[in-house]
Amino acid sequence: MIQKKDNVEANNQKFTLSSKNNAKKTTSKNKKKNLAEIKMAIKTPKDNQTKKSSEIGFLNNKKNDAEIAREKYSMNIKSEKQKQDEISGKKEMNFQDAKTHSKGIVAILLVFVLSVFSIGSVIVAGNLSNTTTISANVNNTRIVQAKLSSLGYYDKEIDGIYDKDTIDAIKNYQADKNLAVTGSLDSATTTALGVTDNAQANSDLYLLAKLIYSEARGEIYQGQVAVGAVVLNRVADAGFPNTLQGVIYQPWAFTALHDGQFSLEPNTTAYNAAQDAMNGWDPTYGCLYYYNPKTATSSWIFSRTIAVTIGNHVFCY
Amino acid sequence: MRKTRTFVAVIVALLVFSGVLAAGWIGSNNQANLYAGRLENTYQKSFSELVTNINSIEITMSKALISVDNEKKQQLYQNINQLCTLCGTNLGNLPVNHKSIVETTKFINQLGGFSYYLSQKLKNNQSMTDADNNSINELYNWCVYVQGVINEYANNQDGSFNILNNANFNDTSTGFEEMFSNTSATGVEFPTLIYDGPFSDSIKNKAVKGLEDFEITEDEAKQLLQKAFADYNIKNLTYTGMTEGTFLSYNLTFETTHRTYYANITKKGGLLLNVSSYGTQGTDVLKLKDAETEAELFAHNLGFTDMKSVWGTILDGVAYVNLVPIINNVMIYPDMIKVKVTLDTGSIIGWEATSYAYNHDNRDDFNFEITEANARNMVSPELSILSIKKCIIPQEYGEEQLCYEYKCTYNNYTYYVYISGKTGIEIDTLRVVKTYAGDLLQ
Repeated sequence: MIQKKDNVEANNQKFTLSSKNNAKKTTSKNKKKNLAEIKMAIKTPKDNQTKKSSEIGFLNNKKNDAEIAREKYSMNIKSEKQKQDEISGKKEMNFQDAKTHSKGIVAILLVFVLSVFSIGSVIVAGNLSNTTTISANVNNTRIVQAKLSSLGYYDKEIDGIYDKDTIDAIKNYQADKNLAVTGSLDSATTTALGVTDNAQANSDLYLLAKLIYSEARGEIYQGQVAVGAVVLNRVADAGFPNTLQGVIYQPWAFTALHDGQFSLEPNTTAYNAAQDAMNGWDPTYGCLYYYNPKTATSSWIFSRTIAVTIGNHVFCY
Repeated sequence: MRKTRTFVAVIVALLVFSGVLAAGWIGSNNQANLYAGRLENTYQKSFSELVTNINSIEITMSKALISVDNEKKQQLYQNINQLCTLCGTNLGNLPVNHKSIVETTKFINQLGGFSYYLSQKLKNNQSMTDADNNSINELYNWCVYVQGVINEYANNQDGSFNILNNANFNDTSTGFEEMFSNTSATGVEFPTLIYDGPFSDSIKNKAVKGLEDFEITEDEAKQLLQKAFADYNIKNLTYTGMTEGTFLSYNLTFETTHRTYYANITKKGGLLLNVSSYGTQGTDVLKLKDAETEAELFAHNLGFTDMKSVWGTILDGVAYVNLVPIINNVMIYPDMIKVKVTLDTGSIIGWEATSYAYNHDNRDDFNFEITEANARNMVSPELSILSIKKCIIPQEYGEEQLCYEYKCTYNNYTYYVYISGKTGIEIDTLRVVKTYAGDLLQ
């Protein structure tokens, strides 16, 4: 977990630094651009406003850039119409303008192409690498947060993230209990909190919570418990794999495992629903299937015996 | 001239765009092919192992059928059970539509469960009955058929055989899917397997004994809920439909200041079967003992006057309390009702009485044929006994056992050892496992 924290902090630091650098670059670039444009621009009543605005800040500068560009463009058109028969030097100037214009189009298109490609690559890479990693630490931290919350030490969201608020809460708890104030979940702290690690039990709960969250997070609480119960009913049924992992990862069994939603981290509601299902709560009383009648297309699923409708899901045998 | 240059620039940009797009597509396609190849390898491994394992099952079954030595038979049935577990894992890994594979999976699991039951029976020096022999013969015929279909398919494939290309959720007519559909089309009726083992049909068709013989109306269900939650200032009590199936029940929902509740009340017998809720709660004020008292009071108000708390654990500011009836100093574990109580105000936020609905009965056999002193001899002297209680425990496959319960410690672990009050043999041992999610019994 300390490793994780270090990574988070390092990433945050990196993000902050790069953001600052970007802002710095953008600001200096804008300043130069503004100066050049201000120099080039023919004096208009708006000049004073532009100057004032350029001093206000980066966001306003962006707006003013657009205004300046519009003015510059209309001015160029005017000057072309008024001075068609003027000397070639002037025409050369117009040619230079046109050349600059073409380069601009090419540059814009290139930026566009690269942006599309980058976004596309990110999407493709995202889809391809949409594998699921199981981290019991997220679950363990979440449970410790919940424990600290119920004891009055932690009042932030129970999200499983080992962040500063969590560390502060652990430190406060450690101080009150006369433990070494480290902010880390050492064995003395977990023992004092009354929690010890059991990888299998936590992994099962985490896996079920993930399935519930990815399949039914929009459903009412009872509907989420019901989805968890269906998974556990399948484990006990001869027609399905015999382990929780086998049932959840069975190919084609759950849509969320195929469209990538399974990689989402579950929230507290999903955890509670998973816990209830594992403790024997089953609002479906033994159902093995569920579907949304508005979206289901399989004629086979419609042939199953319906037991109950909870929220948007029909539960059946 | 200017237009021409602009046109050229646009064309160049489009060409660049197409080139970059093509390069990107080739790159991502290569990567996709790489992943597809790796995935295909795992599918091929599973299918290949499936063929090997199903062949091994058939051979082992045929040996068991002709063996007359009980010890050898026991060993063979144990092997079949293990091979079925492996086969089940192979089946579960293959990208096949559930409806195509469900019967084959059921066959494998039940064969494994039944083999386990037979191996245990033979291990306890019991003989196989005629019914056992008939069932195993029918299962063997199924096995031969399934083996034939899978082998035929496997033998007809050449080097281009690709499982991933055949995997299509919306199309069950692909060769691979079709092969699995065929494995369940034996034309022979699958035997109904009633045995004390995993996946027995007797578990699925379990009788409901705990519901009284009268029916209640929707209004009476609402009244029952209002009475149960009389102190909760409930509002918006609404009937939302019926749950069909094993327990025909009224679905009701209501709200309190901080929570939304969902409840099921059986039509037959008017039993509060299930309550779940979701909402907010404050800081813990109560202890587990207080929560247990709240749970018992709630049960007593509903007429469960002999219910006592026998187990409790705390998770996320909620106490999970298990209540069981205690009759003649015997704890009736099969009639267990589970209750969730918040530690801020002691509110009941969950209730689960399915076990009670299935198992509750007027039991009258509390006759312990083994004395506690004799039963204690079966508990390892290495264990330190903390408490001794009498109980009835549910067995995994529907049976019940009258037992002595010994709560013990050993090497800083807590154990519950159950010794039969009828035969004196050790029935079960559970260990308390402390987890982030509370204390569990395993």
